Amino acid sequence: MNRILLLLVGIAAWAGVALTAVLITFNIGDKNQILMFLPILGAVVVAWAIGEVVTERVFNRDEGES
Amino acid sequence: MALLTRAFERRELRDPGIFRAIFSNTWLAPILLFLRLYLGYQWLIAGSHKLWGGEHWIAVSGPDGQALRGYWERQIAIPEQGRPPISFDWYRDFLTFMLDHEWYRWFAWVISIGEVALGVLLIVGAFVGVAALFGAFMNFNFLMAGSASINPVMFVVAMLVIFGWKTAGWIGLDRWLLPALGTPWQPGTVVKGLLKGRAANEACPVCEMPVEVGRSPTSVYNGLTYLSCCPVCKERLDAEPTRYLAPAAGTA
Repeated sequence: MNRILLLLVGIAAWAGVALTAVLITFNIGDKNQILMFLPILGAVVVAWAIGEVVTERVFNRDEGES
Repeated sequence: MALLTRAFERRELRDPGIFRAIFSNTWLAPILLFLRLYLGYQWLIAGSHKLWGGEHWIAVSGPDGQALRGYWERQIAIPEQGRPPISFDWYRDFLTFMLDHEWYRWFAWVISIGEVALGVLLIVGAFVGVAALFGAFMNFNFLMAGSASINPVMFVVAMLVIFGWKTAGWIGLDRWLLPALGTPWQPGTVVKGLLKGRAANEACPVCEMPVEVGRSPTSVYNGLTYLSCCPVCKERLDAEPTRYLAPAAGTA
């Protein structure tokens, strides 16, 4: 159960990145490209950090790595 | 004949170390992340202009795709003086054909939604190589139609992302999607589970004769079941699986 919850958190984190990107594009457009790029980058970094925690707890760390 | 056989026999030419260090090693994943985000961001902006921005390609009063129609009409026009926007006649004919058949009505949807989808996929790092390939194809078409804009830069960045497809999505969903789904030549854990017990080949990997499920001898390699046409080929396959099931052979 814990693993499934963690997995859902990981998926939600990346879904949040997609939502953030679309919402920022919708609301800011390309009036200020830096202002638009930074939140997207920030969302990716947060999702990546969450993903690493999920990977540590749910998946085998060495899977697919060489 | 011997000359042709020698020239075109299957040989794997390995990438040099520097190429692998740049495009196949995860230590440069942050650089590829920036390239990927730049591309995704540009596609998202371009798609958003067409979907809900000032360009109004679709979902406007009247038939869809009028903006695309106008664009195609401008690009295929041959001016009395100077050079036309399109250099290749066959490409002008292609656009003319699409215009004559009113393809702009549905093509505007394909381009608009496609650009937004590409942007999202590149930003979340899912199927990055394929997304960059489609993006490069769109850049190519805009360039062929005579629109330079930022397409040359995007095309070059897309090429770099395509070269680094294995690690460009490492800080993204491909970190999990690639090991799970794998590639057409190397199935991932999820696909392997689905293929388990099924034959992975339709022709004998050793002599390329047809094989038959239930009758042909089987060998299991790397979690997949392979059929051979006869016991002799099965012995050869079991002895040297990597020789006959190499990616270049296209059987797995």
